[in-house]
Amino acid sequence: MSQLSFRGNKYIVKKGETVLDTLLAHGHNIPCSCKAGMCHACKMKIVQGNVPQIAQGGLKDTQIEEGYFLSCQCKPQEDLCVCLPIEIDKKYSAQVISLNKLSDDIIQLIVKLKKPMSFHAGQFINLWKDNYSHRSYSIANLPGQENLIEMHIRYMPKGELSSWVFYKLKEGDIVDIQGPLGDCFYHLNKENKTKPILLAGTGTGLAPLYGILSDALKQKHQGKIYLYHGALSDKQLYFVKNIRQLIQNYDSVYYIPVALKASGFVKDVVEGDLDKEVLKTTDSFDGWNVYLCGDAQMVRKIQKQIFLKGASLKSIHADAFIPHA
Amino acid sequence: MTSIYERIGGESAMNAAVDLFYRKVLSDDRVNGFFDGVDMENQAAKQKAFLTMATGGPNNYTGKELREGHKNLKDKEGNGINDEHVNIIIQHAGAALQELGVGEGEIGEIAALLETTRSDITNS
Repeated sequence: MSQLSFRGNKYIVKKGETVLDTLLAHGHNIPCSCKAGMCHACKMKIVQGNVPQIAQGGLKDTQIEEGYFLSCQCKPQEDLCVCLPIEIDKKYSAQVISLNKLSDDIIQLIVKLKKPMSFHAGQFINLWKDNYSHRSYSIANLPGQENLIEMHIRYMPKGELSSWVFYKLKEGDIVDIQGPLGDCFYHLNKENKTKPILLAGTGTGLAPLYGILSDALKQKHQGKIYLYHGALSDKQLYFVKNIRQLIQNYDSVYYIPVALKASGFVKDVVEGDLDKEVLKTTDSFDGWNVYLCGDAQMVRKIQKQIFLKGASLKSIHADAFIPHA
Repeated sequence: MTSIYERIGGESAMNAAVDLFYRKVLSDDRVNGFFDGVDMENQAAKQKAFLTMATGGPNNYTGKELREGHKNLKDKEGNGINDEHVNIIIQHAGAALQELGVGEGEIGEIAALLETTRSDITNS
């Protein structure tokens, strides 16, 4: 028998019972559906302790690294403290360090956390405007840089948060940040180290992709890396210099800016559809790790095509951005 | 007797089977219209549950969920699921399992099991 801690309560997990059984029996409303480890609705997160391997079956490597497990499959062998995925995100206070326009409608916001937060580049945080409104933004930088967090924020017409960032927020202001969240990040292990990586996105989907690329380079990734950034016009492509500078000493890292219409604004831009260009990368994406971020329609389209061209679903990290008003 | 699920390699075999099976289904214009606009990861989890059920692995799949889940599905032309669609899906499941090295006899057993879900899926 082991002891289970949840929301400050301690329960005994009876023999043969799962974490989900125990919590449901004590009246906690834990989301669940199939109770067979298939639907992943009952996914929870480890705060302290270890879970049997079977409780993480079917999860992505990055989810396992983040401590996720399936509560319906978890018969704990030792004392365990758990929470729901959303509960772990503490709020962190942070000070605005800089606001830089990266393009007509994208701003780079850099904040400095007052306390360190453990995160991976490519995960996202919630940025709170006040006690009522927040939006999710991806982290573009690596951890360990003096507690800095870099976000790329796109101006949305009538967008509450982005208007605030563009027109109200100024250096020195204090904001709240909650996170980190998400499993879209570079997962280092022996097997992944030599596998090719595809990074593709539109708009500020570049932020997490740039973060993942930085991480992969820092971890001395040995396989090839392709970064595609797509836009309607090449004037919407941003961070071009930063990317080219980041990868200039690497022979096996490729940056391919893609625009439907090229005006000469960006050098060496490929004129065409992002999804079609991405598919030209290779004959088979079998064995690739794939990260797709940005416009939801484009992300889903590429996800499907890449899957049909051999990528395993478990190796595709798709982060579809859904815009808020 | 051990289930086919265990004999073919349990959960990791299921993951491989789902990739193969789903890829075949999405590539087939006769049935892929039913999958437009669905969340692929969600759908793959359901496919896995479906194949796990069919191979006798741990599952809570019930006919009711199958019937409810398929009742209102329409392809691009607005047609519901008919017997021919079910035949195609069973063929793809068989082909995926075959590629994984599952024997003829076992594929036959699985196909027979899938056959029992036909009326729920076609809502007849």
